[in-house]
Amino acid sequence: MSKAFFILVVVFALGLVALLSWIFWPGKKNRRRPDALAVLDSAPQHLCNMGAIRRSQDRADLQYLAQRGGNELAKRLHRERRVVAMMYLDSLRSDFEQLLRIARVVALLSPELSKSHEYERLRLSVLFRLRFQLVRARLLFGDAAMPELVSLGQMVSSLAIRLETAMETLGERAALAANLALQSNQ
Amino acid sequence: MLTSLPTFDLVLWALTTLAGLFLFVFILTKNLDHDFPLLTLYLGVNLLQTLAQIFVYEFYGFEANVTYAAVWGSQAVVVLARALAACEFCHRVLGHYTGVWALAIRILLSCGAIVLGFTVVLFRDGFQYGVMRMEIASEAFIATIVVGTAIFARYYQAPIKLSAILLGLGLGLNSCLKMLNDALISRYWQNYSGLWNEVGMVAFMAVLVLWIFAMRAAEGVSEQKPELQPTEIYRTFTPQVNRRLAELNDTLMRVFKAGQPKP
Repeated sequence: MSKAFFILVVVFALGLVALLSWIFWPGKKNRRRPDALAVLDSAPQHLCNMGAIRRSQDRADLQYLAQRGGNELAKRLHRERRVVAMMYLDSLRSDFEQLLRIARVVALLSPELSKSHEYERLRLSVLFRLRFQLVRARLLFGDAAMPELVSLGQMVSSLAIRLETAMETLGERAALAANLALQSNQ
Repeated sequence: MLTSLPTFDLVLWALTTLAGLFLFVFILTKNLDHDFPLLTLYLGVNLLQTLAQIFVYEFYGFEANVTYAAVWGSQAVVVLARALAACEFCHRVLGHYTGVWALAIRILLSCGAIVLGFTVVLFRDGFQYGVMRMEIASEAFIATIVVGTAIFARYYQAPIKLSAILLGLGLGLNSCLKMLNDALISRYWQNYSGLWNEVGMVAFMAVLVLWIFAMRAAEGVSEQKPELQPTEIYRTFTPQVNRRLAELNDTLMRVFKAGQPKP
């Protein structure tokens, strides 16, 4: 066996043991599932600020500032606005993660409903993470990257719409079950 | 012939066989074989392999070609049975959640197949270690699907019973330790060949102890399938979520319209 392959096998095996121990460690149980419905309280909160963020990254606005207040002021504001945009980007990600948490609760509460949604959600979350890193990199290098930022927002919205559909179906089934229960009682 | 083996090896072999037999009988007497049919099958196959090994070693000795073929041939069957037991573990943890299971099983099998393929392709040391290569690849496959299931369960926060946790731990640790043991002997044959058997048996003994605890935890605990929440909760829950999502969409649309560049 070559040295490289030996190291690969050892690292892989030890990594899996570490992962297994971390996942099944008894101390984790206390932090698990406070309440499935409590997750609703943390529904997306930052998406509504997108308009202000978009306007803050407007090039025309910065040009106007440079003309009226000088280049120094425009540069300083550009830097500060970039920091704000980065913070907003992180908030957008936390919105997305919260929506995913809600979706996971829905998946567990309604097992037979979520078959196709799971695939779609996986695709959406992978795409979101990729785009997120792209936008982050562009912002770090000074590019406003507004189309990508909007695209991220659209993805959050898209997931929200899918969730809404899932919840509607769930609601219909619950109503149907309630009717059946009432009929059987009568 | 068996008496030519070191006493320590013989004692370890006897102890692991006894532990395996105890677990097998415990499962059968407590009717747990209905809940864990594939694990029971694996333990049964393992005990049969021990019997076959005793027979082959006694009649053909340790160096015969027949012994080599019989021992490693039976090992292939044992590993296959353990892979099935690992699939049973995956199904016990995620099988109730139809949607999650449909996604998980495809991803887990794909990841397992990729790991298996990579191991077979990368480990090219000729026929000398062909058997080791196949064993490492199979163990990597089993460990991947077990750890993958645990990751899925954690991601979805699916509740896992203690018996399933111990079963999964046993399966995962067993495969990882076998991988390490086989990698060590393939790399350091001269120095490690004397220890390989002992390390393997001690590790398997520890895993059997874990599984005995798992079966004790499973004893008397009836299988409960997760049920949907009561209707009242859905009636409260659904309008709340729908209202929040509708508000989110409305706000987003307003923001997009307001944020568009003016002509």
